Amino acid sequence: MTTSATLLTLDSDPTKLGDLQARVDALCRDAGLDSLAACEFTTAIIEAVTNSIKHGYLGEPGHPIRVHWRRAHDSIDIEIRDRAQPPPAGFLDHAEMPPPDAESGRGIAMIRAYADSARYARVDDENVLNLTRRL
Amino acid sequence: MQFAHENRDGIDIVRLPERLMMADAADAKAQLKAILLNGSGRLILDLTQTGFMDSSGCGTLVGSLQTARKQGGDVYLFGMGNNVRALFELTKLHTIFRIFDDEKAALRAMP
Repeated sequence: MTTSATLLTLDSDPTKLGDLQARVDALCRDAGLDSLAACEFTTAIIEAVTNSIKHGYLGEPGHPIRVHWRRAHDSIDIEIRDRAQPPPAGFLDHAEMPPPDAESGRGIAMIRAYADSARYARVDDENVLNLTRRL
Repeated sequence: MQFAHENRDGIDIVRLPERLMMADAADAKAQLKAILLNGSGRLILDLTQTGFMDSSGCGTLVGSLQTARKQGGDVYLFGMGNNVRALFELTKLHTIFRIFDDEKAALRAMP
């Protein structure tokens, strides 16, 4: 059984998302996900961090977001922590994909589709989102 | 980020970047809109280099499609890799865009 963990810290600056995408995708591939699965789970993580920046911090740079990446023996477990304003209650339940001609509203549905589990909690003034993808 | 853009016989062709995501979405949307409004409304997007797209990227493409169709034009896509194709199937975007294997086929089909 191989386990490993990495902490990725980024600023709430949308221009940092490209670097995060590349890093997370590489970690997922190294952990054993194939190219498509790595891209899918990376998309879920990027959508979650994007939500934190866009809706939590209202697009304002200068706030830390921590992405804890952990490879367990049969899964990749991600924990995303920030101190932004909390999302609306039950936001993860609104997972219906909007119609194809909608210009927005796909983020949560993509998170739910590409992660095997998604859980949110507010802990000590922090938003904590846990995402898991089975290997 | 400035998109590579050319016009061939009145049809605009734009090469999209490696990633299409939130950071670039507003700029990308503005560039594509300007190209459509200054042109014939017929736009072909080259996705050959695009390996990653998020929901903002999807919104950018849908926005350009709506702008084009309001002008009586259309947006065709080609060069889509497996990752973006899977995203299009999840989001059903493949039902509203015409998608071609290569540039020649997209150019041939564009009225």
